[in-house]
Amino acid sequence: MIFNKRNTIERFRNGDHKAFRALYDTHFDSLYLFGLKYIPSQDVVEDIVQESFIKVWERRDDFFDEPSFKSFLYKSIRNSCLNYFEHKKVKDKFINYQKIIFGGESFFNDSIIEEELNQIIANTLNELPDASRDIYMLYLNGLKNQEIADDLGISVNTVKTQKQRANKFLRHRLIEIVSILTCILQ
Amino acid sequence: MRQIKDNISLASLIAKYTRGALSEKESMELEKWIASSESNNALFNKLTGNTLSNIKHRKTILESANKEMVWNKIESSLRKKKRTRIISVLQVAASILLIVGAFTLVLINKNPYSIMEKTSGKVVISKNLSPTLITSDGKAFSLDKKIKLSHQNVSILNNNKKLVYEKSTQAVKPVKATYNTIIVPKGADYKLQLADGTEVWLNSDTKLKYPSSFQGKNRKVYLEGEAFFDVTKDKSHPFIVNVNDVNVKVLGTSFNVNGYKDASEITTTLVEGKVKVESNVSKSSRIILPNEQLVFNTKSGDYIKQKVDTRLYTAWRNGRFVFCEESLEDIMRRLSRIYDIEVFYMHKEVKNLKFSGDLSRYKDIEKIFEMLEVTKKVKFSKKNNTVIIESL
Repeated sequence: MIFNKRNTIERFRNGDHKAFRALYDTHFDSLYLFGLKYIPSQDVVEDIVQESFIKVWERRDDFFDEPSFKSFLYKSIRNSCLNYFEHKKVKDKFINYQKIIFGGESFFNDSIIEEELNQIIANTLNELPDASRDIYMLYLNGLKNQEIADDLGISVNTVKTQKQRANKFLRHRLIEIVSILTCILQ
Repeated sequence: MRQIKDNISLASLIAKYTRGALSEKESMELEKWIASSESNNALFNKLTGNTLSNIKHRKTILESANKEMVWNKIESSLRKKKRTRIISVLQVAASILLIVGAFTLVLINKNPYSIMEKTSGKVVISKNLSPTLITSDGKAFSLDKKIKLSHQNVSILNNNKKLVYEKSTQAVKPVKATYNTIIVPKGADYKLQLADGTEVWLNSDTKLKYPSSFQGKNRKVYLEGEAFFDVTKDKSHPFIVNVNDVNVKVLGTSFNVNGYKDASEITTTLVEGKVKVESNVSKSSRIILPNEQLVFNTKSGDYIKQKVDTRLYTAWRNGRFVFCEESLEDIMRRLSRIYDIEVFYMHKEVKNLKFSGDLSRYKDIEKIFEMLEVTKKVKFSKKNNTVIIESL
């Protein structure tokens, strides 16, 4: 799986539209939702995401791996959002307040952590077979093994096995968050 | 730095929490973080509270997003940009074009490797100075002529610009290694085959000290200058190139090492295989993989690693002089090694002009000057071995 990702970035660097599309499909969701945290307008955020992807395409020579690709997009979207505040002609104290909160590093970092985690959870759910997915969902709602087993009418052992499967996916993906944060915070 | 580590372990803890996989210690750590500030508390609740409704909410928002439409806009924008970019590159290229009639056409563009060669020009190296072989007992042989030596159990043959070491089959007991040195002067280049079959291409202004036969655990050679190695695979005997107190250690592989004495950087470019670069001074090391290049700065002790098109750095082996968006200063520095010239700049600004090209190493450097002059940005004057460059 990691090998595939390497290929995609390389093809992207070489100007392959299909590879670019694949990257877009993978990362759109988290980037879009991230943008919405700054500006709660779907139209505006869609435009910003569009511009950022165009920018990343123009600089495609600079990226050798997906974390650096994603970090650039996060930064680019944030900057566009902050610029949007600057240009908004609303003489409102609230706007200044917004700039202070949204302009900060911790808001930026927290938002990234949140969206990456959400994406991980969403991906994990999608990839899990139906049985594991139900169990995992109950997990997320804080149920214990025995409670889940009782709820679904299966054995505790089954619950544990399906747990492990979900955990494996999570582990891989966590490494990605780490890489992205490392890139961004350099 | 600290913030990165905190964020990382934090995300990890929170994810573990959602899986119910926290240890006692981790649990306390997480609780401590949550309690330390209001915003932490809020973030935690946000991330974990009601995760199911979070997931549903997220899904709803995404459903109303125009993902496909945004992509279409991006794609059409790419197509438009492609067209305009080509036009502006041609306008810029007009001032930096290198056209040499029937020879080589070069454009500065995003892909400098799509360079066209329209010549069947032969490679000729100028200069009367020939490479010299110095054996361990201090005897010097000019490699211009054919030599056939027999040294201990090794026979040394020189023919046609290549020096070959062959282990004599009658070798009985291991003999202590004796070192030879090849000195390749400016304006020349040479090829050498070592006793284990490893092939070494030596660029201009380069010295290589090597044993006539390899004894012991390591196969070690000492380099000053630039060489390309095609190392014979032998896992039990690592091949080590020592350049200025930096050891480039390989198992069996093809790579280029550039470590001229006057430069503060040692550049290792790997084509195939795997290589480990170690500094004896700073006791640190890096491993490089194919198509990667490691630049070690001997002054700062820093390593910079990047992916490269290895052809740029190994083209000299094929008698080509290749440069990609290189400053005139760097180009002249390289040329001065190949052609043994001294360079003076009348106008300092000229040093920073950038050029790209893929040229044969010509007999006369004047030919290269002619090509660079076509850009109408520089003018070269040459008298004996001195070159003066002025801006136009």
